[in-house]
Amino acid sequence: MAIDITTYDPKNLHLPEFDILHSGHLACPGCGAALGMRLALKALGPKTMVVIPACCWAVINGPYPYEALGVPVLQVAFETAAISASGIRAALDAQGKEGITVLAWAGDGGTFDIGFQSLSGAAERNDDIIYVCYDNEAYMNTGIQRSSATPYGAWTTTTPVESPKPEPKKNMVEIMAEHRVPYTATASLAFPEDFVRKLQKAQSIRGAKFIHLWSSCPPGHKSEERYSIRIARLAVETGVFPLYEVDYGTKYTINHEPAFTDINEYLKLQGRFRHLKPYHVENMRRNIEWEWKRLRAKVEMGEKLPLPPAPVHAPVDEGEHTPPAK
Amino acid sequence: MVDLNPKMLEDIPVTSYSDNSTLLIKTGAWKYVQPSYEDKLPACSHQCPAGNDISKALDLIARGDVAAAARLWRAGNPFPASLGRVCPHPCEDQCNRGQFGGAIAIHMMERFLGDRSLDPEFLPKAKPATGKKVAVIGGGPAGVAAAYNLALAGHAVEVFDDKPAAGGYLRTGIPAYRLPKDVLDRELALVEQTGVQFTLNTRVGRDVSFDELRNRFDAVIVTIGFHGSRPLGVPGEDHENVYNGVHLLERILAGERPELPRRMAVVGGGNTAMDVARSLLRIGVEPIVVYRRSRMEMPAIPTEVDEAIAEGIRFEFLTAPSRVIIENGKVTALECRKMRLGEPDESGRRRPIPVEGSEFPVEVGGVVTAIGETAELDFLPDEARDGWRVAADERFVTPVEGVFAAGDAAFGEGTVTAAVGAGRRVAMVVDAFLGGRELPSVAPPTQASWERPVNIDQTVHVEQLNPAYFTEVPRPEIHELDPQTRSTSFDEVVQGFTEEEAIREARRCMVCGTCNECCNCLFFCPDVAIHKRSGAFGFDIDGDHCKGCGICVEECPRNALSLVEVKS
Ligand SMILES: Cc1ncc(C[n+]2csc(CCOP(=O)(O)OP(=O)(O)O)c2C)c(N)n1
Ligand code: SF4
Ligand code: SF4
Ligand SMILES: [Mg+2]
Repeated sequence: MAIDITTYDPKNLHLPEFDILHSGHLACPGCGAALGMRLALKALGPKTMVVIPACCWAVINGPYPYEALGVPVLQVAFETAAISASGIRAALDAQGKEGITVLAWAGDGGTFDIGFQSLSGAAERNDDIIYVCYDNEAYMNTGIQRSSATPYGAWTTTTPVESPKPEPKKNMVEIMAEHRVPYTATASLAFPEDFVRKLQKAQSIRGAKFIHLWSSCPPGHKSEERYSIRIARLAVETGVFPLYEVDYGTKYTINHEPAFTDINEYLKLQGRFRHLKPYHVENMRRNIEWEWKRLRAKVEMGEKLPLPPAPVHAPVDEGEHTPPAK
Repeated sequence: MVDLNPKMLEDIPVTSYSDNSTLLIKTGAWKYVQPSYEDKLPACSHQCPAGNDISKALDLIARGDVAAAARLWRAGNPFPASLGRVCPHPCEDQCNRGQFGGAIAIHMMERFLGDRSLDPEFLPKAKPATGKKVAVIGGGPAGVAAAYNLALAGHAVEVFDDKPAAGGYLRTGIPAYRLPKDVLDRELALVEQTGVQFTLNTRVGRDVSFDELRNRFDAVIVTIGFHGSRPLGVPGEDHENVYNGVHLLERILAGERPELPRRMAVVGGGNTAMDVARSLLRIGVEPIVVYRRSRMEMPAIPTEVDEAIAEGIRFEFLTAPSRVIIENGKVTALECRKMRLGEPDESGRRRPIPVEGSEFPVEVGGVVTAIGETAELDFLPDEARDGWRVAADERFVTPVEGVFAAGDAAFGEGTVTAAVGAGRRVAMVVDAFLGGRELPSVAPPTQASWERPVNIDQTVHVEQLNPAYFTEVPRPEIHELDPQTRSTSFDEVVQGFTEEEAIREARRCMVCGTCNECCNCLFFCPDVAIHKRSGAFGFDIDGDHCKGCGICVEECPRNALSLVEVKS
């Protein structure tokens, strides 16, 4: 039965109605990563196989012998999300099975840090997988340690308030885009239609696709559970987390022009930023400005550049392939 | 099938494989607060004196169910077509849409739904007859609203009115260019359809005694309005060309065209003054409005003043009459004094103070007074009177057993809309009285009669909405006859909405505090714990799996959910 979504205001959501994710999973109340998976399965449908490395989601999916995903899931070692997904794709290809989406679903630690080399390899080989990093900006499952995705100034157990993280967040989307994979994008829980569209676009493309999903985490961000979506929205509206996508590392498209709301609105809802001094906030502001200048410049550059040239294949009538001379 | 509770390590296979749904895990036990669907009062309805269920009706229209919306609006209000035309619409001043493109044109929607429901099929089903009888004295908006609601509650109601037709001020005080008489007649005919009996040309105290009514009926409700007009208190005002505004208006509206001076002063700044001035204009008299304070303090509906000014009517603000100048038996002018504004008085408006020696003549051949009205209460026993008003407490109960009172003569709210609301409320009290139930300490608010449950203690203002879900959409234009045409005719000035315009406007409504199944709660739940009811309105929350995070409550655009503590 179709849900009667009454569409008065243009902002009402239009999303697939079915759900594959089951209730009873073990995510904390208000977990953004749980909502992210729910939306991902809505977008990709039942013919999806999922790889989950060590991270919160390995726990969320339920203790043995339970599982919440409702599609085949392989739980693998921390650093192997991408390579395991590549392996599943190779196995499916070997069996001649088509029409199956392989999704690697990993945390920021498992993506930005320990899983990075395997992800870079899969991207370089352009293996046909969708890799989603749900980014809660720290190693949450093991008790909130900093990762290279942790933002400047944030508190974690390894960056205490006396010396909060001095380095800015690593820009993973640009790094992945520079692999020249066909599709890279950022996404937010507060913009579910945009996230679903991006997943479906990724699903329609052959090759390696990377989506960076900013994810609320009430215990890790020291925020109120009910504000999980509000904070995700503010991450976008303050300019902290731009919503954009990149085709073939070349064509940058901004998907939502932020209101550039005062960043304090975003910071004040999260205890992990409570210790910040005005100069920290000023540094954040300047960084946002700089990042946006870079991003807009990339958009401009992309407008002038063509997409990669179509490949030329060996002529069919040239007979046997001649091996190169010894 | 694997063991659901493996105890020994050996029970777990080498490559562990889970195939039991986590649905079996009752994560709902974690919570200490839980979401609950709870409609609240939108700012508009909070402000509506007649108790209209605005958000629900507009939502029904937006979905395309105009008939259901029309039925809902007429459910407790017998005059939507009339009120939509004459109400000063305080609802719109508070409308939350005001900050997102302009208030919803609620009065136009009321008028549209009223015009749509001028047929008996839109009347609610009456409850079975109770055998109880109620007399209503005064067939104005309060009396008719009370009669209508009591008839629908199953009581036999008879309305007494000394005029040849019911409607009260709606008939005698409001000109046809604002309320065409056939609209009023059709609404009254619908009230008759519910079984209400109108006994007209019958004045209580003259044609039938008050005691007789008390004997013949189980309850009596006094809902007479204001009919006199206060005197000016200046020399010369007993001249035959000084008219009582209420009575003059009544005559003009009844179709009479009395011989009047070519130019007349209309004294007052209320709705009656505006109606008198604009009606005079239409029968060829040049009116000059004389008002002792400034435009800002005028008690008249601001749009009525705007329209009068657009029609070219002259205003003398900060001006009060000091004497009627009569030469050779004829009125030649109204002598006035200039005023200045002092400190605010009890009404909150700044008190006018005469400026010494500022007398000047306003040259006119006649004067009409429209400076506040009084009720005619001589038929009531002494204990039921309290000065100029009927003595009644907050439950509309008078000191005389079985006698109730509402409307202008009791509380002087002064608008037709407030009178309809009072009629609705007194009906609830009288229904409780007739049913032998205990009377409330205060008459229940109009919204207590709504069919859908609403938490009326909470009002949803703009701060209680989630602004992320609303974009600005401008208020539509309201069509009026051009001032040239309308100053010479009694044709309706404001043109109604077409169905298309009404649906478009209903879709602008943010449906504050009222679930409209937008599905945000359902889509944002990380625990898939909200399910759309199949074949019925609304959602169910799966308590076994809701963890009580409260995201659904926060992301509801319109504040139709609340977080409540889990009772252990
Ligand atoms: C090789 C290895 N080192 C360390 C761990 C311990 N461990 C498990 S999950 C995790 C943190 C994961 O962080 P992230 O990828 O950001 O996901 P999150 O828990 O934040 O969702 C760590 C350090 C492990 N399982 N394997
Ligand atoms: S937007 Fe609709 S429900 Fe909200 S105050 Fe205005 S008319 Fe009422
Ligand atoms: S979003 Fe879901 S889990 Fe959270 S309170 Fe609402 S129903 Fe419960
Ligand atoms: Mg993490």
